[in-house]
Amino acid sequence: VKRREFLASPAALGALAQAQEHGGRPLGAAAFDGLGSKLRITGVKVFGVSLTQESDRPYVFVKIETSGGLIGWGEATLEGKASAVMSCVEDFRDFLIGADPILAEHHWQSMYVHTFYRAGPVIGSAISGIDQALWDIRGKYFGAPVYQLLGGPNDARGVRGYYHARAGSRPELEELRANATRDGITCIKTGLAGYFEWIDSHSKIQRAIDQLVMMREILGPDIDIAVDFHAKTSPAVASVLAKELEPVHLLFIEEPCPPENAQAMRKIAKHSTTPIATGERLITHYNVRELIEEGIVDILQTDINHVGGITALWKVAAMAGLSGIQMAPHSCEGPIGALAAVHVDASIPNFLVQEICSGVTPGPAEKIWQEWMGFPVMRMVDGRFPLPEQPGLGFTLSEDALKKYPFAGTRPMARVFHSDGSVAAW
Amino acid sequence: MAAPVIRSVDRLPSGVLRVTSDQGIEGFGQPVPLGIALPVLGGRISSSREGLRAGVAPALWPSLEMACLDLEGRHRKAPVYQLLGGPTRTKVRILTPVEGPSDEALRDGVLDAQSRGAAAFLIPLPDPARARGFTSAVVRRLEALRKAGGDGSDYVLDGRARLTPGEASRIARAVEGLHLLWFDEPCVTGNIEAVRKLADETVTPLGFGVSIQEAPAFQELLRAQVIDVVRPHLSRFGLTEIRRIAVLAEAYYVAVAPICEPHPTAAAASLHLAASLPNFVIQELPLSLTPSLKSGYAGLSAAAGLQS
Repeated sequence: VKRREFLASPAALGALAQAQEHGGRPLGAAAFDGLGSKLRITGVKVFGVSLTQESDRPYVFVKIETSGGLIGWGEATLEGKASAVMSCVEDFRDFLIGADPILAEHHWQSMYVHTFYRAGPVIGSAISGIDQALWDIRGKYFGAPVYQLLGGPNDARGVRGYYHARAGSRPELEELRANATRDGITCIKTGLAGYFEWIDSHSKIQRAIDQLVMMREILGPDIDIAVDFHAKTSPAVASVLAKELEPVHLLFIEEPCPPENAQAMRKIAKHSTTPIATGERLITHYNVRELIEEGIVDILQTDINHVGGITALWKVAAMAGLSGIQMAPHSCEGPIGALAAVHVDASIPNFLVQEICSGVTPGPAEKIWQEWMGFPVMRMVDGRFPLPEQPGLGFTLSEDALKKYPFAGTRPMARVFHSDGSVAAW
Repeated sequence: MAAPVIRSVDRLPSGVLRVTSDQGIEGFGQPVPLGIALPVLGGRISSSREGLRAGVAPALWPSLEMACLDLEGRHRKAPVYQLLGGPTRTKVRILTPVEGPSDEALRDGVLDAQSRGAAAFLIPLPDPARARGFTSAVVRRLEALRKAGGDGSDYVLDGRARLTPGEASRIARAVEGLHLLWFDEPCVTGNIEAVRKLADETVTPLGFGVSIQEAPAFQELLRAQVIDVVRPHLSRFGLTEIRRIAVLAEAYYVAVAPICEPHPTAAAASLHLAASLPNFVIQELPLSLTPSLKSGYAGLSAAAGLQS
């Protein structure tokens, strides 16, 4: 039997699987002996971390241990689907135990390509957590913050960020303006109130517009305002809003329609000069290709915990940059992914702004993050997230610290309905 | 429970089609033209609708399919929306057509319909369509209605395919700030490039369907991103074909607002269809067929078949 024919046969696939089991190291790992590092992965641990018993987004943290004692942390949080991702991380153990952690790209390729079905959000999030942990180890191995390995930093002061705020009442907005100005915050993101049907009424559309016009009026011209449509509007409704909001000069409109149909989003983009941002639900650089090459969006927002970690977020930025598209990575999960995103932000030429799902006044989650890591995690100084100075992702975290917040199980994300009982998007 | 077996198909004096099962259960479809011979379907299983369709004249099919589903619902003691995978909603939003020779007559029509529970209105263009100052007349008409009906009143402008794409575009632009639910049939759809120009020039949502004869025409409009409301006619496509067209629209995030004959059986079927579609938005029905509207919605019946 010729070698090529043998390798294509089912018998060969069985033999290959056996080789993996008996060798003690993953298939293909030995080929790199002498070219990589002498580190070997000895453990892959996954932690579900629930800040509250009801949390719909327990953090999923990945810890990779190595023979040299270096450890790496990554985040694989997938809102509403914690258990599935935790299982998926476990499924990748055979790819990793005994392998050289330095080969981040090789492992990324193997996890993605050898998964055969490529990746949706569950597999993408698992790969993301592992990839971040490998980069944490890479940084510690080279004694450098990850942004240095990625060719940064571009600005020693850190990376520009934005907090969230409700487009609330006049007094609320006046207070927001005072606090933002005091803290040097240059950008705020808000959402559209209510849920929209694919064709919707004058009163709802007018209310949304009035709210944002008032927000601009009160915040003034010097604070950028971004608006998250959260894919709860159809192209028909979003086109009306995007066009009528042009005079408000928004920094961007986010996810003006759901993510599966790029051409539908193009229709909205054609009707408004307001920049369009999207991408938090897209997995890997392969899935942003159409948006980029057809010039549909101005800003991409892929999430480092879903898109495929540092490796894939950097690739999305690279593809986007060639078309003049900027990056505003999504971050609405835990502290590890958010910090990992800051490293990518600090190194790419087409960075715009970094999200954190928090307010100008910190909430209870940030208190816990600080308790875990010993510094104010993802809190801006003068409108920027400061750059970590330690090697790797730049923090230490102990398993003991997480024990106070044991995994309380998977909970669904918010489920909302229209007044006629039909399914609505939030 | 076995599916019902058809014993006979006949036509009542009103034109309503009746399908009777071997157990004597009856199902009814909307009136059909007199000149067409009825198919002989005795012994066939009524649930096997694709199989039945092959031998039935296209003009009869929507009614026959309706009757078969009604029969099957009554046989299984289930409302038809359940057989169609629903319900997806608990009530159905209604679009009420208002007619009148003048702005004043339309205003009175809207206010009267509002007092009877209506909240969304289909409004005709002023006559004649090409008079001087036509665009201003359209804007004036809709502004007056919004003012009379209040911010909670919603409007669809009925173009009846009478305008050129350019005229339609000028009007669609002029009314953008009024947030119509949509501009219906602003022009003919035969030339997709002309429709594309219109769709590119306005954000007023556009609805098409009254004059569309073939389902692939919807696909063309969806692919060109020029349609915001898909409006297949129940008498032309039938319940199942409309469900298929709705699936196509769903993949483009486009809403469906089917059209039906102003007949009680067709109206009942349209409500069951509405209750099974995820991307349904509103059903056009006259006040006479929606006697118990509440805040713009019609209720759903839990009775078997298509009964309301």
